[in-house]
Amino acid sequence: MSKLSSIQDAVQSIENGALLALGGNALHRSPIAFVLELIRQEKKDLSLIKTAGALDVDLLALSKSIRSVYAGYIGFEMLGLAQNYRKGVQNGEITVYEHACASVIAALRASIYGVSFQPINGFDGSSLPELTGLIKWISCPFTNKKTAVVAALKPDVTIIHTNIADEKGNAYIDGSVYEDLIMVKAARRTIITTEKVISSTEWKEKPQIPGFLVERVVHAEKGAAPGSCAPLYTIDDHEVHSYLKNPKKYLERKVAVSHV
Amino acid sequence: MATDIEKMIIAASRLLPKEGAVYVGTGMPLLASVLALKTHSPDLLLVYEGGGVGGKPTGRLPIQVSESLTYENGIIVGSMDYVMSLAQAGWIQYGFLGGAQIDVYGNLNTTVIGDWEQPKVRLPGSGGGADIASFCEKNIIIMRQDRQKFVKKLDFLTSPGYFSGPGEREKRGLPANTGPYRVITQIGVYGFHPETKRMTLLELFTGKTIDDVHENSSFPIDISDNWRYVKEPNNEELHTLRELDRDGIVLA
Repeated sequence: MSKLSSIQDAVQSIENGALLALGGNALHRSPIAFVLELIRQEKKDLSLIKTAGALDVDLLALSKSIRSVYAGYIGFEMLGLAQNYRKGVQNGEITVYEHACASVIAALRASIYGVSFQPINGFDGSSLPELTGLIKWISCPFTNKKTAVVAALKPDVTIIHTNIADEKGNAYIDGSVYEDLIMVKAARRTIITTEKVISSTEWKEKPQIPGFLVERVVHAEKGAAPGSCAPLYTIDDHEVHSYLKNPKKYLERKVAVSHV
Repeated sequence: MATDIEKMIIAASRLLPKEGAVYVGTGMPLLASVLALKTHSPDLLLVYEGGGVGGKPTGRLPIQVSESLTYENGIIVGSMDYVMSLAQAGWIQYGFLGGAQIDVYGNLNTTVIGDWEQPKVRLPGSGGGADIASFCEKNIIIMRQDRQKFVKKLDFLTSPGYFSGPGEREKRGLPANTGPYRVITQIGVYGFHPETKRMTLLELFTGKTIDDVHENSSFPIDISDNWRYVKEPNNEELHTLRELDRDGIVLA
């Protein structure tokens, strides 16, 4: 049976309060079209998992859709802070589960291997573990060395944006895969948005994501815009700046019509 | 005449080795690393958090660590998982860091200003900072210097420096012979004294004074007996740097 779905149906399957992992990194290959549809359908109390987030997390903070965030970094790097996320945290509306990118990855990896925690190198002395309780210390049963461990994170739904996918859910990413493959394996279910849908008999590239891990495929051209999806399109500077200048106006314009 | 930012980038680029691997962030670190590639370090391996390894960007500067320009002409493009594990396994010698606050032992805060529970300003967070700070042998910190940034006590310790002095990193389980190496600000270049691990002025930029060092820090900074002025940027360095950022993304 074909896994192709409209973006509306795919988002309808998301429950309020769900724990979502969003693929991509910073302004690159993030599932922005999907995020905008989450906002259109007024999903609430979402929790997000992300290594380094930017527009995706900030949009959901602006629309007051988020209850908590598990992330290593939320910001626009050289373009500045994620102002709506910043306000949401400062107002106490958003709970931050303080991570580094590496500990988010380790937490997802634990779920992949079916264990409840994952040892992780580093973090000795940083306030990250002490203050936030997400990283604890155990004594290694083999060497007695003090070892940091991070609790497993299992996304209810992982959403990633890919370059190509077929009707069975097999999918291909060009360039860096960031944490997407780990997020897919760790999740209870996965939704893929994709630039291009092909038939499963047409593959020239080797898909990195096997379809059996994927529940739905949504055709979403320019689904990562105004971020990039290499090599198809780069960051739309004009649009990103228009967001940073007036996020509300940008969101109103984007929510009014779906381009997918 | 070189600007403050240009002088800082050039000073950073001179610190990079002929070969070896450096963890690169966007902005000044990226320019410093590419400048080193094009001048004295043609075999330097640039490693980006987003997964790119060995990229040698030619056109526009990447403005984010995960954009595709970071793996242009690169060796491999993997995942953040892959690149971070390179650092965890000890394959990356040099790292770049920045921060909203630094203390005398080179500990950094990129998480929050004020109380963590009720933040005055919520900052982006660790990103790869805690890892880079924990594992790289020589970390180069680039940031502006003023009394708000050079603080007696951090609001939050995101990325470890020398904690409270010599031996503290090792005591907490971090690998030996790692930690902050230099701090570059608009005023000068600082190192960490081998015995005290306290920040110590090594070099001043021309036009800056020892008074500037003290006036722009909330903690006392030691001055090396052998302090000197930073060597002025030469024409090749300046020309190459300006060519790299013709649009003035970082330099302007």
